[in-house]
Amino acid sequence: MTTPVIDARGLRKTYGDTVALDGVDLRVDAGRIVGLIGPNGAGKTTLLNAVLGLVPHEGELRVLGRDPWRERAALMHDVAFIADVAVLPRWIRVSQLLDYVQAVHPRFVRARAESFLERTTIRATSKVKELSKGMVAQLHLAVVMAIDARLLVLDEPTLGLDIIYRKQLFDALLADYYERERTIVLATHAVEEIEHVVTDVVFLDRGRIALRATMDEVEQRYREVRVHPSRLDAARELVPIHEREALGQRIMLFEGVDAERLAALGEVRTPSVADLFIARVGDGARRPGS
Amino acid sequence: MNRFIWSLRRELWENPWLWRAPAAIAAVGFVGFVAYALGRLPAQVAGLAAVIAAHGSDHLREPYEVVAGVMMGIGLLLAVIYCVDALYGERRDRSVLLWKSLPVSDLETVLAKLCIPTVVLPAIVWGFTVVLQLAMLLASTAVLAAHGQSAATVWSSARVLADAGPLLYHLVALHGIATAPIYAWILLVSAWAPRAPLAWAILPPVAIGVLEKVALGTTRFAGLLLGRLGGGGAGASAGPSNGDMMQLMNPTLLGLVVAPAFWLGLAVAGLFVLGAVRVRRSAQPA
Repeated sequence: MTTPVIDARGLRKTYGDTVALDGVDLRVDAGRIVGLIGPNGAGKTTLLNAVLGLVPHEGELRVLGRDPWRERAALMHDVAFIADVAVLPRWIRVSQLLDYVQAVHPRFVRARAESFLERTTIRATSKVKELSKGMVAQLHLAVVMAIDARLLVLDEPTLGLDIIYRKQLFDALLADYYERERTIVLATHAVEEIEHVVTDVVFLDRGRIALRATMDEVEQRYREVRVHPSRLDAARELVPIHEREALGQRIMLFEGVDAERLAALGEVRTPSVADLFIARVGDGARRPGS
Repeated sequence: MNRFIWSLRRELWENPWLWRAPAAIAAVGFVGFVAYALGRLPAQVAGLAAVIAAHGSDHLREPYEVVAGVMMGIGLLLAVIYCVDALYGERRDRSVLLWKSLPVSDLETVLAKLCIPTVVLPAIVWGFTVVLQLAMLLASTAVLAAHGQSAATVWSSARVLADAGPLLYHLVALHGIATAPIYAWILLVSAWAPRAPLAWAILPPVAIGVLEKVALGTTRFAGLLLGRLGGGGAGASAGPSNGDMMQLMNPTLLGLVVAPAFWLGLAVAGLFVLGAVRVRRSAQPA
């Protein structure tokens, strides 16, 4: 068995009386694109900060075989990340940023960053404070993509960006992913955005993992049924994990129920990640222990 | 080493006022001196015997010492301002998350930041001071030549080149390295303070000084701090004054390195640096 890129066991983090992470077990293997999905305050950023060596924690955590809290600087040779908000200092020039990263990061390929920037309107002489929010995101992405990192961590990378920049970001991300072996962890609460990008989903809720599955497993394990009105009682006997109403019809989500049995109840389809998320994490979801 | 040098460069990019402010003060000083030279210098040199009788032979040197003193004061002020914001500013603008995404350790970062007030800024102040003094000498020479007078007396009195080395020693060793515990303390506060780092940096030492005065009736702590900030090194002295106003080589390098207080100060600075590193490790944006 190969060494996982991220291996967390019993990861726990508290801030005073607030429990941010409550015994998280998570394994991420090389070459996966993992969508870390959760509502605000679910613990996504705390989990990523622990992975990046930015916060101390309880429990065991290894990233690329290293302890991130004790070996952050060394780990950053192989890990690149974009935090949840614009963190590029306003005073720095584009050329200075490239100069500095080139000087301190042995895996930074400047030509790659410049090639990315050539496709934008960002000039090397511009200061970050002169750029729009979307341009700052493009610049940061150009820098991060130019680092030959084994693990790329993106925390809410599209927050506050318009649809054009969001699409560009995910296009660039996927193009880069297919060019070389990378593992990507992508945290967001904008579920629909990443549905067709990720290979795995992890739902985080109140510091705990509510679901961890590959997209293939999601397709095999979960079915959504638009139930015929005459079959409602029969459907409920199969214990759906979630039930909602849309356009006057009852829609039920089942886990691990045979597709042929469900077909007799109504129209069957694979649920979207958003629907699955609401079923597992949203109001009315069955919580662990409930 | 390369990372360290680039970390220093980054500090100068972020804080260009570290060299612009001394340059501006030097420029203002030069203009002021030219005004003085045009008005009074020829008469002073013409009546040099009377000037020496009234004020002593070093009277012509005073402007050079004054500008050096002013530049030292500016350097001290800039060093304190820099340290207050050095680790707080990166949390305030959240850029700490960018710097931490790069393979540069917290220790390298904090040491680079400590290097600015202890070595880089004193060297900058020294450079602009010497350039200013040389410019003043050249301006004096030009003014005196226009009046048909020789500048030889001014050149021999000013001793700019002769004092350049001692001035560099004074700035780096005494205002910089010997003052490291104070700068390291401010860096620690800058790394930790949730807000208003200047107040957090000043209040504890002031409180200790007041407590000492109330409880013991003494002012040793305040004297120690002011002595360090004033370039008094570690309190070591090479001996009695040699008559120079600036006392650039007092204490001498030998006097400094044999003074236990100097090494104790560096040890305290080391503890504050380790504290700042530890705090920065888990630093979250302010």
